Amino acid sequence: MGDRFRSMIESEFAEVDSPPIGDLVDNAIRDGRRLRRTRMVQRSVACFAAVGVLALGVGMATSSLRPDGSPGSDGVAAPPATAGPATTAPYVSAEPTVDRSGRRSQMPPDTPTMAVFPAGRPDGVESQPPTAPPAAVLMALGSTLPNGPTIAFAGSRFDTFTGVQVFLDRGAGFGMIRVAMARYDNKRSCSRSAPGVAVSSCTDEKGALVETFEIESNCVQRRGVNVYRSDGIAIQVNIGSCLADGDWGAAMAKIAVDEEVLAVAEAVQIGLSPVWDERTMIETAAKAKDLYPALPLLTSFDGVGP
Amino acid sequence: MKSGGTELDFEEYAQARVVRLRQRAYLLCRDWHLAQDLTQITLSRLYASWRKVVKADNIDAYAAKVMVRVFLDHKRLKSSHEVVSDTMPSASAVVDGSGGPELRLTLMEALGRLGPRARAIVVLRYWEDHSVDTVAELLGVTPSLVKTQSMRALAELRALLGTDLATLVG
Repeated sequence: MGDRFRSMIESEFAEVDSPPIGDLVDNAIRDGRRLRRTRMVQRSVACFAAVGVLALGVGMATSSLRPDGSPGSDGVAAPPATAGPATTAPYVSAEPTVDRSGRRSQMPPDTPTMAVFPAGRPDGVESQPPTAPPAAVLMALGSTLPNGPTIAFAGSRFDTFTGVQVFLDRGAGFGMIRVAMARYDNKRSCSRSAPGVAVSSCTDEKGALVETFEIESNCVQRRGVNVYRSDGIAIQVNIGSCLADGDWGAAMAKIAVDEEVLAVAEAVQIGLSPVWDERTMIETAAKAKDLYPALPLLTSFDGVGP
Repeated sequence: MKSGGTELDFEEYAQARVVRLRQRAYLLCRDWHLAQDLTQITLSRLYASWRKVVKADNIDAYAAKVMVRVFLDHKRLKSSHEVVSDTMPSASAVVDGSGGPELRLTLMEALGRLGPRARAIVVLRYWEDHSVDTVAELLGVTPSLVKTQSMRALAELRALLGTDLATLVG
């Protein structure tokens, strides 16, 4: 059948009026080029997407853990920093820490911590990081500190708060201060002491709930203050008895302090300071960015990293 | 045809095959405008993958696969049913008193009344003389399905052509 079928059909093609071929081949080449470009773009996009997903996965794997064990929001590896706000560079603030004798030590993962504005309060509302960037929070902190050279600036926006770090030397050597800031529901109550955490006082000052705590075995949160202000801002000031490890520059040759660099009463005053005004901080965000153009990142805040 | 992977090689291949490709497309869709589009799409896809295509053992078979699949996809997407004209495409074609041209036009019309896949099978199997296995591979179906549909298609053609089929297959 094939030969007969073929010859009959081909005879018909010879007799019917078929339209001219025209630019069919040229048009096909033009469309083919476009198709090839589209495929290349799609492949490139797919590659970039794959790399992005991979980077995101790595980033999440290396990001900090909040006190409740959930992952933090920052954690991008970057080059080491040098001393001074104008020369800082992105840096993942590593824990282990340097103790007063200059030895490096790693805090075990079961080290007690004071949760930063813990959830699970009667209202069950979690805190939120402020709109202001970490640099603005750090600049506000700087305005509240006693006189003395400062180094080791760092800051990160975590899931429920923004945390910043600074080392202050009041003459006896550098001490570490870490401050967390968050927007918090006005309904508040004193924290219940977690194992290893001693809540030493819980008072009402200037309309704010102020609780102080001590953690014997956590040198990053050796002493601290939680201040829940009536304007819905919560501040946690942590006074370390060690220094976070890192390349903080030549000034680090003079390390350690005999006592924490801040008194608890001073930390309370920092928490109650009017500098923690979000609107002002947003307005000064550009200036803060100029002051800390490449603020190193913190991978953890309470001393127990991922 | 084996050639290099350059644009010149493609153009040479396309110019040599474009008439035949368009005839196949017309047999599949029975619409010259759509046949033109099917041919252009097929050639553009060949062009986009030309370096890979030239490594294939049979470029023509590759082109046939592309065209048939584009055609079947078009049918699925459009859910279209061809409207077969009651009139002959060319009045001059039926003037032959021997009955030959009239039969050929009737054959083409009958072919157009088959379903898209059955028509593709008949075109590939009997016009292009591909084996059952090759047709199955081109369409992505099993050889047994090709055999079954070939038989049904021929039976349908017989029913459509009546006694003329004897002339056709004789």
